[in-house]
Amino acid sequence: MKLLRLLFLLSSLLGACNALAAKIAVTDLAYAERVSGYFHLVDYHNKSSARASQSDREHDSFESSSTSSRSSYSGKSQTDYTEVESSYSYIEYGELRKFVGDIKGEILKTGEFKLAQAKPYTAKGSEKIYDIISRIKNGAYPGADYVLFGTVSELDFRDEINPIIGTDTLSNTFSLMLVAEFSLINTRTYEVKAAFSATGEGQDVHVVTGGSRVVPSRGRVVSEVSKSLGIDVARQINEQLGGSAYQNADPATGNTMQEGEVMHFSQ
Amino acid sequence: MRPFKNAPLAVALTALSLLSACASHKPPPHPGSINAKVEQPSEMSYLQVTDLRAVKRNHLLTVQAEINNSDSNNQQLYYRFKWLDAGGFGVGGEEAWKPVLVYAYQKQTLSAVAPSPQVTDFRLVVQSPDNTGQLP
Repeated sequence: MKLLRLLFLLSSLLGACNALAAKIAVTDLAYAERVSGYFHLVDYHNKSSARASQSDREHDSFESSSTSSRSSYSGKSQTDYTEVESSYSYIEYGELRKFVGDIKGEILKTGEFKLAQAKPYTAKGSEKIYDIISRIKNGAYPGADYVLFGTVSELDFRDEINPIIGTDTLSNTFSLMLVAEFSLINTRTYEVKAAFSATGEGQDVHVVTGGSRVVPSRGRVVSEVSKSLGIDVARQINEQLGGSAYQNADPATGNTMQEGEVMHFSQ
Repeated sequence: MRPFKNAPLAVALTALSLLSACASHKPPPHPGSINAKVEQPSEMSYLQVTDLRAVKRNHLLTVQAEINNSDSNNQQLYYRFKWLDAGGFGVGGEEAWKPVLVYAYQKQTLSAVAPSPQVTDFRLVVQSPDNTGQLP
């Protein structure tokens, strides 16, 4: 009986520990983009009218005869011409609805946190995307103890063709690099518990001969970026919060050597 | 009847067989050593891979090896690379053997670029038929 009671106590304690795991809400990555445009408007109106009239009168009697004739012509023309030329520029704010799925997955894998769903930014009313405190106060992250707020620093697509030295082939590289800054903010005290920038990188490489053309797989590149970003974010959160060693294999590519790194084999 | 009459002979035979077993099983090469990357059907007497390095350029593995001839005669060498992916599987099929003449007391540099970005590892296979060798 005692044993049963002990087991019950242990299981309830374990349940309590699990329930105590901090809840994180991961926001979509916020971005600011400068939108520029140019317009040239030409407005031309032409209105013209013309009127002509003629009347003839002839009077003939025994004693006299008279003839009168009258004609009139009037014309009117009006032209309005307006030309406006200008350029405009403004900053557009929004959230990138991509790349956060793997961040959530990797955070869950660490086993230290639970996740709460954040309400998306809708740009309605006076909602401001970078005012994270007001968004917390407005209840955008229900049930969350922490908010992982991410903003895009740089998103860079590259399509390069380089000759491979010593061969007559070319290496066609299509790559995407995403750098984002993150802050882990306590929703009650607004204390920043962790802050870092993380990188996601993906590429699709083909070896081609001159004249041939390959179409890069954008889906594969985006998937690689998302996975590597998720791993980097989870690793840095774990590092800064002093959690247990975060273990994860390299991104799907499985490459052990970095670009440009020379490996020298000893005798 | 002396059951242990041939005991010294048996002990000697066992010791001999143990010794020969030890001699035929070399310890595995160190993972970061040249021997871990070079395969040779028979050991070459005069030709030796003295330097081996790899670099990733444009996402493709590029390998450079230096072969030294310690003999006073020219030595014929045949080589090819085996390209392996992260799982250890061969990539791009088998290459043809490439002949290289290494002059007396000279060094020759071999270089190759992996056929695909999936390649993460390689083996350099070398043989020199006229070189007195010892079969493994």
